[in-house]
Amino acid sequence: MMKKTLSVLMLAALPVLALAGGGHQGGHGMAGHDMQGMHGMHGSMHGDTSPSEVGKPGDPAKVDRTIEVVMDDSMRFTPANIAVKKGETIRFFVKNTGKVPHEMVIGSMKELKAHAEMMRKMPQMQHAEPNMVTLQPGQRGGLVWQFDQPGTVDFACLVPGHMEAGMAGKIVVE
Amino acid sequence: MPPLRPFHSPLPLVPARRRFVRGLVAGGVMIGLSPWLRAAAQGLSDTRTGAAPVLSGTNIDLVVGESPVNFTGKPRMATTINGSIPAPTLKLREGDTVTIRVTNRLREATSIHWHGIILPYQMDGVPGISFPGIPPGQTFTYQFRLEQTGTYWYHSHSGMQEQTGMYGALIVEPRDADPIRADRDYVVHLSDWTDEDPMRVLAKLKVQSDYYNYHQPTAIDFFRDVADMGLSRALDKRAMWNQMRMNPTDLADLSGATLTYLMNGVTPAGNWTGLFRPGERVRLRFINGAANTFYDVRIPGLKMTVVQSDGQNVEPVTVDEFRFGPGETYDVIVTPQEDAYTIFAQSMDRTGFARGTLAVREGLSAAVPALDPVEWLTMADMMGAMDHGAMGHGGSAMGAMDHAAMGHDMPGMKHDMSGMNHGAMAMGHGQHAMHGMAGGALAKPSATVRHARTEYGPSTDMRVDMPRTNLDDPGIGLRNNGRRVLTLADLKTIGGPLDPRGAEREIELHLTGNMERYTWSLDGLEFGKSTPVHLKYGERVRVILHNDTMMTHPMHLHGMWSEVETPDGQFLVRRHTIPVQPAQRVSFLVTADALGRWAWHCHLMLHMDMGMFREVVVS
Repeated sequence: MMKKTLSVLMLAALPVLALAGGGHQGGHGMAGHDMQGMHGMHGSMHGDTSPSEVGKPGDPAKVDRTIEVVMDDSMRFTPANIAVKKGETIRFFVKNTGKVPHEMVIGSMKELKAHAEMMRKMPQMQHAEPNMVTLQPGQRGGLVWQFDQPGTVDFACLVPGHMEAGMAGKIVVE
Repeated sequence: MPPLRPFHSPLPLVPARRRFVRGLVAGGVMIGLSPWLRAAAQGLSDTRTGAAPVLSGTNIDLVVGESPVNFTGKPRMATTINGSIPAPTLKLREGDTVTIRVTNRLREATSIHWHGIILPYQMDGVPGISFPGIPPGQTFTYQFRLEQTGTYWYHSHSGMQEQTGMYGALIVEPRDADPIRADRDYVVHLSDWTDEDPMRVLAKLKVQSDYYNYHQPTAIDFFRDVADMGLSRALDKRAMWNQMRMNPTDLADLSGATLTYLMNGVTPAGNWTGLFRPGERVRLRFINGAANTFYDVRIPGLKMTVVQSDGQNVEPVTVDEFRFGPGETYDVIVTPQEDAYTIFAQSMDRTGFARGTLAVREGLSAAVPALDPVEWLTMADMMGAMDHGAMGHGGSAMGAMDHAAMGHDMPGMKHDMSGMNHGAMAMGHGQHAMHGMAGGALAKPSATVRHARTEYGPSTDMRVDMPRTNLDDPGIGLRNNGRRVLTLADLKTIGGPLDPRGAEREIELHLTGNMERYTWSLDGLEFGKSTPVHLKYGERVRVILHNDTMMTHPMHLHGMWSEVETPDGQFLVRRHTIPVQPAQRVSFLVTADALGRWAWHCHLMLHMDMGMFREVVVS
């Protein structure tokens, strides 16, 4: 029963992840659950968000620009508003200068909220996908993302409570 | 517990030809000065040794100058900071922004590099890369914020100044309580000293690279081999080494023949002493600030619990002994119960030692062990893994492969050797079958050896095609010695890596040299001939260091951490200086999080000076 609930919740959050295609090696990991089965599912079931709306994982060898993002315990991203050009591959170089874990997840607001909801229900869940980076206090890391459609892409920290406290930002693709 | 007895000389079983200078009891005191030297030294007070002053706070003044020393009976001038060897211990605090004013009272330019400290590149103190250096008579103001904690050190990065006395400890205390608890806390700063002019030492090595090697195979070794393995095999063995024009005792460039080994600026006879009360937890912050010497450190009668490596806390591991090279640091906790223990740090080439004492009061000493026998390099040290099946490669099995075994038990060996002249150590066949990439492209370090084209030139006299990748080998002279010896594989940084990402790309760099010419290089290119290694700001890069020489090189990357991984790509330990053994291949991940120009070099001073040095540019 539990497993079924989880699957349904994940589907809501997965359109972005599905875009990663075969490229992602991370995957959600949760003790006691057969994650293989879940991976099999999301490939076949796309959500209602078109892939190109938020972009796709970029090639680290073809980065156009590096943007530094700092996350801290004031529950803010610095900067929180980012402008990129259509087609650009951006390396987000992210630092957690706080004393608690933070993460940066890129997606549409709808996806982010669904993912956040899932996180709240299952706070123990470890996850790693090309559209996100989770950092322990003091850590640095990053993700490479290509923006291929004009519009607005959201990002947020999905550690329970953080997005609600304002830890979110916008990327305007021109 | 060894019996207490007064320090006596001569040491047991030190052959006369070893010529190791144990030094004067009073290291810093001028004695027997000839009148002209006395005049020259007038107005200069003696160098303070044995007890570096402690400076703390956020404003520090350091003055670089010359001051007289006498370690061996020959008065000499040293390069010192605030007139002390080691230089003052800087006790700084995490999160503080410190301002350090360095005034140069020498007749030449100077510099100070803060070894292992993360800071803006302009503050890193490498002349020609970070800044122009500090001209005579001028003051340079360093300013940086301390983002880290732990035991580090600082030293000159100019000419031969470090070698002649310019080094000190730098301790960054945590803002919160230190997770490592101790009742006493001592810096144990090891270094080496030569009475010769370092430039003259270098000139001698350029002419004859084994000038200071007194352990060369002798007629007696030959007769012993004849007795052990019979005449024809003994002849083969000698012929084999001769044919390769290499030397199985090439463990260090400089030996006890010219070096005096110092502990906190004190000679072995001077016996630096740290006091304790029985049962106390004593933290010893070992720093290898030597210019030339790998030390094997132990305290007979005490187990050492290693709690920190290169300033980063590690999961505690209890050992009897550890080896470390120039630039590396280890913090250990000991709990002494008896009255006195010897801190014994023998040089890797077994030509001498630094020595001090932990004691309940001044004036005590414990037995000083004899130097371990010299162990000849094995073919595994020179050529790597060779044939895994035949050698029983892996872990300590390597240690079983000594030179005797090579002669006796490996009939196929001789044939391989004869085809192996230097310049053409081609053992390449078969490597592709051995190593295959499994899983994600960059999940594990690549095992396919790529020799740069520039390696096929006069600066490289050997290349290793089947390197060893195991990290659990304590190294030549420490294998199977009956003691638990620390290895890189034992070290695990608490809290994991600084960056959870895997590698985005791989850089492979080979440590190279030509012994006969006494040149050292990376990928066959000395510093002057090379172009910088370029890193992109924010990227996560895997660096593979592959040692194509017979010596262990402590490789120090400035400005960014080096996160050592297992051959399977699992995170092990965060370091600023990584020792790479002969024929070994070590990989680590670097996050290019520090913009600017940085130095990357072997911390054996003469190797660095001869060209084993690269600039790294992060942009």
